[in-house]
Formats: sequence, C-alpha cells, structure tokens
Amino acid sequence: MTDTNADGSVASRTLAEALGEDPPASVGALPDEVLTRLAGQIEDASRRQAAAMEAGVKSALKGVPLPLRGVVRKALLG
Amino acid sequence: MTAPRPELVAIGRVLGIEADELHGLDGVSDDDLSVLHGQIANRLSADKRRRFARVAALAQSIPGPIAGRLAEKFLPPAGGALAAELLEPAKARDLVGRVSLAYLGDLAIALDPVRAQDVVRAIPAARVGEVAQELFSRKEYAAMARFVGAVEVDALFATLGVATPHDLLAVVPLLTWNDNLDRVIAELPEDQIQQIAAELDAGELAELALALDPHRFGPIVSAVPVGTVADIASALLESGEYAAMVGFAGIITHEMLCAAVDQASDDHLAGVVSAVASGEMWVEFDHLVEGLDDRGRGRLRTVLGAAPSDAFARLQAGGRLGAEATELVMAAAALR
Repeated sequence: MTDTNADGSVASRTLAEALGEDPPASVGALPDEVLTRLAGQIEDASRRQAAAMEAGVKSALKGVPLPLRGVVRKALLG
Repeated sequence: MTAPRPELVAIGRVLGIEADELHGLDGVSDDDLSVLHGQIANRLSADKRRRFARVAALAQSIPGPIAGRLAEKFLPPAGGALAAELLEPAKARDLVGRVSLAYLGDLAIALDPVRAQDVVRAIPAARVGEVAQELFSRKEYAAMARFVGAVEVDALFATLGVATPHDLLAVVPLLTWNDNLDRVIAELPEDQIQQIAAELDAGELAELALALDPHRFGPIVSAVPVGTVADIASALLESGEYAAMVGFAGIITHEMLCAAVDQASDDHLAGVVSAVASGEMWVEFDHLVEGLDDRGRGRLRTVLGAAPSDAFARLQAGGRLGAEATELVMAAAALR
C-alpha cells in the first residue's frame, strides 16, 4: 500500500496509539506502510528498553553493598 | 553518499536503529521530524521516567556528596541520565561537581538534550567546557553536537573554546545551526582562528567552508596563506561544489581570487558560471568579476562565450548585474 493517509487510516491510528498522541499531520499523511513500520519500530524499542532496564537494575543491585542495597532497591524498584 | 539528516539520526538514536531504516520519512520537514522525535522520546521514556523519578527523589533527599558517590558507583549512565532529567536544576548543579568527568561524559552521551535542557543549562559553563573536552577526547562528535544544542551561549563559548581544529571540523557539520552558535562561531578567538588556519590542510578547510556560512568562514580564510586559499578553491571545484565556490569567492581578497582562478580549469569555471545562473547568485558574480585581473576576466569571458544558451540568457537578463559584470557578459555575447 503506497497511498497516503490524509483521511486517517488504521495505520495512522496505530501510530497515534504507539506514540500516545497524534503525530504531526505531515507524518500522519504518509503511506500506511511507513506508518505501520514506524509504529512497530517504536514498540520494538519500548520492549528492548524495558528488558535492558530490568537487566541493568538487577546488575546494579548486585554491586551495591548489603547495608545500602535495601535503599537502592527501594529507589529503583519501589 | 549523502549524510543522513540530523533529525532522522536523532529519531534513529532514540529507537536504537539506523537512520536509513526510517525510509519514507525523508520528505517530512525538519520541524515536524523534531516534533516526532520529541513524541517518540516521550513515549519511550514514560515508564522509565516513573521508575527513575524515585532515583531522582532519593538524590534530592540525601546529601550531595553521598548522592554523587552512590550515583557514580551504582547507577549506570543510561539510568543516571534519566534520573538527571528529573532533578531540580539546583541539585543537578551541585551533583555535577561531585562526580567524575568520565561519568559526566557517559551521562552527556546518554542524555536526551531536549528533555534535560533545564538541567544542562544549570551546569556552570566551566564544567560544561570540561565535559566537552571529555567528549572531544573520546571523539564523540554526534553526542557533542546534541549536547551543544542544549546549552546557553556562555557554555557554548566554553564548549567550542576547548575544541581543537580537527574537533571543530568533525563537529560543525553535525550542529543544528541557531543564533547562539552563529554568535560563537562569529566570535572565535583570534588564537583559535590562527590554530585552525595552521593545523587544517586545504582539503579540510574546504570541508569547513562547506559547513559554514561564507561570512562566518571569512575570518578563518583571512588567516590562511594565499597559496592555501587557492588550494581550498581547487578542492571545492574538484568536488563539484561550484555554488560553494561562488560564495567562497565573495569572502576572499582579489589576490586570493586571482590565484584561485589561475588554478581552475575552464571546465571548473563553466561549473561556476552554471551555478551563478541556476542559483541567481548575481551579487556574488559581481564580486567575482570585480576581483579578477585582466587575465582571469579574459578566461571567464571565453567560458561565458561557450556557456549553454539558457544559462547565458539568465545572465543577460537585464538589470541584475553590476557594471563590470554586465560589460563582461556583453563582451562574451559578441563571442557567441
């Protein structure tokens, strides 16, 4: 699909959901293929970052001395 | 190969992908890409911000020396950058004096300069200069360019003030131009200008000429020997940068211009004429003609005499050229 999206398609709404808000009009009017790919790239990045952050927190906690670990764990994980 | 647009590079960085994976966005304006970058950054950091808000709250509530030591020892730079975005600027100002430059450099690379702008601007200019030196020493030019966009003018002076000529050559093409940056480049200290003129070769100076507005490159080129200026012109012409050459001709002395044209081939001069006509660079063409000696004008007249009809017609179109350029074009018309 290479048509543009001036009227707001499923792909346009999918991108808006991935962003949490409407993109600039010129972006929303891009072809479905571009919008769908961009929405997927945002979701992929979100998943990768969440996984990396979880791993980073666990790794960081291992390096914290025991007396401080509770404070840091609370700060990072609540 | 054309370098990707900085706005697409910024979006790619946030998404953890290469800019060329964003094909399809090429036609979107810089402003809209910047908005999109902000939206994606907001979306991706929303959950992390909630988590690192607790870290920022912890840093706010414990004494600075302890917070600094804890952060550097236990908080990875990516997390530290997220927490830093949420700090009160005054607390950030205190903490940046308590952690190492190496850690600050890591933070600067990880920071989103738009989100962290208030915090970055709270850092004393001298400390910003030290962070800049750290980033330059690591050759982190893309990170440096992002960081530069977030600082105030006094910190910008400190930042570019510690750049070596080769650092400037690497970072200037990556910068997003604004009034502050224009001012700092316009007010580069004389010793730094002399250093640039002495350390960069003609090819490198030509690259810098392409990255800077001609009138900002003027002070640098005025510190360069005539022979090197001619070599800069040759480098521009050899790479087909004819419009840049026309602009460059506008900032060099007549002696430099004559030396440059002496080294140029007729094909190069034809490229210059074509750039003048297609870019309607009438003022620049006036300056070019006025700066040439008889020999240079003679060569230009010959090239004009053989120029394509459409380009020549544009040059001939009345009233846009000064007296000397008009006279030269009329003399060329007689050759056609």
